[in-house]
Amino acid sequence: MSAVGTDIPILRKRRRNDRPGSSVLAPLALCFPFFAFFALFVIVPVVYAVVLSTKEIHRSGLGLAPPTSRFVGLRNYVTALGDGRLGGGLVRVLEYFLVQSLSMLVLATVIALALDRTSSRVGKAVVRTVCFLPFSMPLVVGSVMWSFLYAPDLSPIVHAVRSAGISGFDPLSPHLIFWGLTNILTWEWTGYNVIILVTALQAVPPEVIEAARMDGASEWRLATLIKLPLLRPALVMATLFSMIGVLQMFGEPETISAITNSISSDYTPNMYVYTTAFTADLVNYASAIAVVLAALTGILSFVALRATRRISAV
Amino acid sequence: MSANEAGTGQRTDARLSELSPRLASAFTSLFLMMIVVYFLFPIVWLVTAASKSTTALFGSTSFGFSGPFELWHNISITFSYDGGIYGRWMLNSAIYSVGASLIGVTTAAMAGFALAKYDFPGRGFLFGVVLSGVLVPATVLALPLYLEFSRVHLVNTYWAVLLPSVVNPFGVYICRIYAAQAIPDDLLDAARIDGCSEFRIFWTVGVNLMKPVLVTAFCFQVVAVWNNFLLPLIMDTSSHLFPLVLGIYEWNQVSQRGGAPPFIFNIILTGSLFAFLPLGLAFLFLQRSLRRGLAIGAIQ
Repeated sequence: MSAVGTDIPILRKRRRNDRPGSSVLAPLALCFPFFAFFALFVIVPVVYAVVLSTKEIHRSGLGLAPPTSRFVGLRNYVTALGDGRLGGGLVRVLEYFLVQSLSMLVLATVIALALDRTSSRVGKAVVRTVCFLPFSMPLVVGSVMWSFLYAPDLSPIVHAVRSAGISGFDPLSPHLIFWGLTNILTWEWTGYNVIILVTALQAVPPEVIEAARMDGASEWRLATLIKLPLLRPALVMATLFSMIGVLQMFGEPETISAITNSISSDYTPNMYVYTTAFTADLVNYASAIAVVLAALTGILSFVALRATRRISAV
Repeated sequence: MSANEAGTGQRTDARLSELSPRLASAFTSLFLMMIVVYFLFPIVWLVTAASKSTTALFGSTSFGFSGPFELWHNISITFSYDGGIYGRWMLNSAIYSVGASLIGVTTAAMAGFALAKYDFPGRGFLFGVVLSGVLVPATVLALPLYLEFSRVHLVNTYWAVLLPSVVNPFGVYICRIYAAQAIPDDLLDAARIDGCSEFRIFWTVGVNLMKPVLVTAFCFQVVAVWNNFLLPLIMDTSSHLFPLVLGIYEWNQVSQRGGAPPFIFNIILTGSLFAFLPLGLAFLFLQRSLRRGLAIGAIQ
């Protein structure tokens, strides 16, 4: 019995080390399909975009000879730095972050804390499901739906606000479209953040809550002094993900722009990339902007990762 | 109860602290009810609006059903408009999302299993690559992918949307975390002693123990591909290749240009409802599985 017990681990160890080939080849073979796809459809396009961004199409005066492309170094990037249309888009997504993302995260936190102190199981499940439902709606479909709900001639919302006395109310007008889009983004994304925060709250050890209750802490103090600080890592991550999200904003404004002139073709940086590449036909310059955006996103993601690691280490 | 035995001062105290939690939970319930209304009412409106005739849609701003109940008629014109293109779009969405996810999850499971269960040179580097893939959003890749695909003349084909959608770094990430916890090394060693090849071990032991996370990864990928808009917008020019979301976007554009039939608004709304319904219903049943994915992704 004891002989067998001591024998087998040695046997196992020896077997593993005896076959050095299989333990390196097998995992590499298993990794291969994923990384092959990854190389072809993530790495190659990124490298190709970087290469294109350093070139420029040169057309001959009469357009008789085929256009040639030539190397221009960082010139496209220099142009991008001074490009007011790109800068305007970046400022706009920053505004969305400060107004939409931050207020949405406050809302999501309040919902998560409210859910956490609700004792009704059914109530909890219903709220969680309903919050999460918009997340399953394709953003184009969500934007189309909301653009109908903003259209004055058929929307019950616009009708209600107008009959309440604000006769000129039009969520699609230039000065209200920001709030219209803010509402759409909040409607779509709050539930996702609620789920992340609720999950983080479930990870709070029940002993901590129990001990605080024994000490006579009210539910309010429990929420603000104990649960909220424990949510900090999840909140930092959600904030940075929202920031990356608004930086990428495309589908919502692009869809809404069909029915209103309040959204320009350079409303967000991604819309500007799209217009530059496909309407203005400046593929090289569009590549440079896309690379700038990718780099910005990469930096933000890196910061996000570092921040969550440092905070969860505390 | 204890208030009976205590003095009067303490009694009011006890009553206050009893009242305020009750008030607080009433407020909490009221707040959560308002939240439910906010998230639900646009979807309810979509259902009622898809049931209205064109006249009723523009003739009333009512929130509920009004005019004749036209849902069945609207469904039939949605699916028959323009030679039944809507059905084609729905089929395309299913092909893109299910096809890409089947390959995506298989490759993600293999890579996740390998990264979790083998110690080999380059493992840390490869996992770093996966993480960077999770963090770089698909939208920054759309233009570069278009440029790459136009070089090899694959733009405006099924492959143009299908192939890039296969890559699922988030799937690898959650598979790796799950496999590291759920698959005991001893079991793998036992299988090795029995003479199983490494691939067989993955296919029998690994896949079996990873089933829950594979379902989660599959759900996430189906949702992501079904909802993807920018990639097909850039890649597809022929409408018979469109997925549903691009088709609806196109109808929405056409409706503003003039020349479209008056019922175009009805089919946009009905089409939107049925672009959402399959995933919305699946969500109701697969919630737990999706929440697990977010939990693994967010907390670990």
